[in-house]
Amino acid sequence: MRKFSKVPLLGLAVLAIAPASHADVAFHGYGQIVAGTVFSNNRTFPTESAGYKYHADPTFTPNSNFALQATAPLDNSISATAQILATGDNDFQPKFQWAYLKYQLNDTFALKAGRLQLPFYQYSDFQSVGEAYPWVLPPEAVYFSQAATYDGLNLSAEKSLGDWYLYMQAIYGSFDETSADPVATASGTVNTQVFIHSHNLTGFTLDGSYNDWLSLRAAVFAEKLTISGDGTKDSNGIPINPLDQLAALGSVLGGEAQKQLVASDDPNIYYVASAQITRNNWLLIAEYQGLQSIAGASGVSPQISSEYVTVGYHFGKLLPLATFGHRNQWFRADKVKEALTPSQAAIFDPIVGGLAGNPGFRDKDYFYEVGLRYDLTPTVALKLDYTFYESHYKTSDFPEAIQLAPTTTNPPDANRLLAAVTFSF
Amino acid sequence: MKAYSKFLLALLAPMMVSATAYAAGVVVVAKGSDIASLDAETAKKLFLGRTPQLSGQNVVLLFQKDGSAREEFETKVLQRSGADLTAYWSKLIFTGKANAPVEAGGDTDVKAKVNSTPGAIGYISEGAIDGSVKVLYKY
Repeated sequence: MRKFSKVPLLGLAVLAIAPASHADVAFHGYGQIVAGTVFSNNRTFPTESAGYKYHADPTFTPNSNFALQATAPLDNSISATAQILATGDNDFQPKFQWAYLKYQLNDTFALKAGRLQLPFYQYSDFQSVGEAYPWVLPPEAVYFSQAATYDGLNLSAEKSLGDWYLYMQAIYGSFDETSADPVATASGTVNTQVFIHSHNLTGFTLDGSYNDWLSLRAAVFAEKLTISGDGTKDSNGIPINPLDQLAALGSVLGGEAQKQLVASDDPNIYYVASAQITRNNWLLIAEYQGLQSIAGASGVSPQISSEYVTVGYHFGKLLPLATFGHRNQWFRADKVKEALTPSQAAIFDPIVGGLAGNPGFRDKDYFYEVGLRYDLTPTVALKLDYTFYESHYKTSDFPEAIQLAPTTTNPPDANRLLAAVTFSF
Repeated sequence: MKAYSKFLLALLAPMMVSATAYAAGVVVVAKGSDIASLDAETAKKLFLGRTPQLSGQNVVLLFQKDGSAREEFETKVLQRSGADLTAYWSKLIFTGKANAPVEAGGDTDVKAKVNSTPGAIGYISEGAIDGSVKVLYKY
């Protein structure tokens, strides 16, 4: 993480020295307070985006946030922007979400450099700005991980062609991310973490808006991905996180087996497509994502296919919504097994089961959601979401896996209520 | 007499509101600007953050804080208003896709700002036009 600290410092330094007058610096901000509770037998709601922090006891913490953004023009075509975000998930410790320089080359092209937010999905690059979308949280079938920032470049182009407005982005960079990964053990749940390092991240996005009522988006990203556990061990010195267990096993076996058991510089490709229609008070949003490892990847890189559809209708300031989401997530256990001898596979099987039963590698999740948004003022909105999560995880769907007993981190189903107030200024 | 005045005011009030509601507005820049004119589509794109530059100059959009001039502009030109417009601009501002508009206090403030800020473009009521501004588009 040390290397990234230079980027925000650069952003701050530029903001501090650039403007001759403080009146030139524009400040904007946003925030939200989100309260949530889970109704299903004291289980934890199984989404990484909330850090697994919604329980039966109502909490205001995980998704509440507050952000302040400052933009300073350096001359006619160059500006510096820094955004500081404090989230409940991180004990409201302020963190740089953005810190970049923007160069407007002409009325079509703009280049940004620094710390930027990844435009993976339709709402990714403003996932923390609750004011800008209808739900309390973007649908977790697709938006199941924390919004990621990356350090690098973003070249954008915008063009109007008849009734179409087109916006294109090309990005290059790298990012590090840490996500919560609670693991169920015989002695209870242990909160471990998973470290993700993505580099050579390259992506293209194309957004098209037709007469302001139809929006279409397509994106593709390629990366080299390294995933590892945090090394937490039990009292016997055995790694707790399945990724650490696989890495330990790989170091013993060596060769092709080790390559299949450890996700190190795995080449991945993401495909994303989405559509939005806003017409005659109706709102329709649909989004799909697919993540595939390509040749040369290990067998433990996640493979994902997920989508959601939202339908809403505006009754003045009131917007009721219904959402259906579905996510398939798996890993190539077959590739891992092919690399093992029968006797090695016998050792490996229980670990495959442990990995497959982990929430991060579940199979077939369904999300049924109803919600309401009420615009109290143009800058303040009240929102409600009730989500029923259903797991269709079965051993018959995933023969290599061992079905784990339901625990707080391996819930078969869970219902969650979220209430939020969002604002911007 | 007082009661009669109140009655008269009550009668006239809807007509006054109505007159305000149908007042025309204009998009303006500094008098010396080399921008000649705008059409409806370009004006809309500009104030939806989709045209970052005009005549090679980064634009600074002036939105009136509130009032009838703003309502008129949002209804006739942008066809977006209230929370919908806020959500739209939040997305642009907090993703860096467009520079945030600058808030102006009213017609007088817009006229002052277009003359003091390079690239500034705003809207005012038609009745507020004077020699300090150049009218690009009437709606």
